Amino acid sequence: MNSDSNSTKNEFTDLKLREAYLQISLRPEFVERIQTAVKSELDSSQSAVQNNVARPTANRLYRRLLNAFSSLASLWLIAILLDRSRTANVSELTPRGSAQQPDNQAIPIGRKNANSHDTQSVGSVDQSCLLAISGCNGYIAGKLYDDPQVEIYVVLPTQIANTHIE
Amino acid sequence: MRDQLTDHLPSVYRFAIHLCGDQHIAEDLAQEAMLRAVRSCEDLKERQVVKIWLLRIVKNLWIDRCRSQGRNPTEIAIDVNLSNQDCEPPDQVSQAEEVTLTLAALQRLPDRQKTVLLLVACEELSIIETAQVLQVTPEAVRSSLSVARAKMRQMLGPTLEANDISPIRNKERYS
Repeated sequence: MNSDSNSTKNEFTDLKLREAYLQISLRPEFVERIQTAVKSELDSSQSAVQNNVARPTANRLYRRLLNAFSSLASLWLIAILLDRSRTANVSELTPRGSAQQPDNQAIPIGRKNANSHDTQSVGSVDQSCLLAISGCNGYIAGKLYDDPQVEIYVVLPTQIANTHIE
Repeated sequence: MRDQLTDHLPSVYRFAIHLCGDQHIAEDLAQEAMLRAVRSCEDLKERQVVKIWLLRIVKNLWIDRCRSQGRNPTEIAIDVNLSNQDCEPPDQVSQAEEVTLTLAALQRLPDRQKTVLLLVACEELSIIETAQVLQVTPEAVRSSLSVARAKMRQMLGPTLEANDISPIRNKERYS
């Protein structure tokens, strides 16, 4: 009952407030001013849209080109990194100060006795073969040779690189 | 969407009047709110919340205006003198007295309670909608509304008794 009474009193208060609130009227000049301002704003925004019809398309095209370029640049970077990792052994193999060998050029291999200065040619390898045996920090694995007194030379065209046998 | 905006102009203006208490400032606030709404109504996804959105713009504009002038955004209760005298109801004397007494009671409420009561009672917003306008939690609105109503009942006690407000009488009177 008390709740009903409060509810009724609230309704009465709301009603009186609403009466006062709704009595606040808008001046006709103000309403007209607002309508004009809103219409003007609408017109200007619509003309702006019409004048810039091509802009969204150009923006989209620019964004697509940027994305494509970005993807291409990423692929290019990845390719460079892969290439560097693939060719890393070549630089390790080639002794410092020596000239880089052109691809597929035959590289003579010499053999000499540690007690003499004579060098004996034992054949040649091409670049790809050299690459295949390049896993030892530039030293050619020499386990195949039982004689520890024998050194193997890889003879490069410009200078002799001493690749020591461990 | 844009056509709907001007339908809410009276609510926007009345709420602005409640906030600033000055007809000219209220007109400026309402106009700025309408123009802002026109410019950015494309961003509004839900058409149902246009009124809430507009009222919130007015409130924020008022706060910005007060801050730019270095003062607190104190709300002012509706002055009955701002109302249009041509719209007074037929039973002018008693009705006007009741309205004046109710407004006087309203004016004694703290700002938050006053605004909550106005939005709920006059703009007929729900608790959640009022919370969205004022950017507070629904619980805060519910609490403010409850306290505001209790204070209004207390302040208007003699008036309510004099009008013999009872549930049965009320139904007859406002049906």
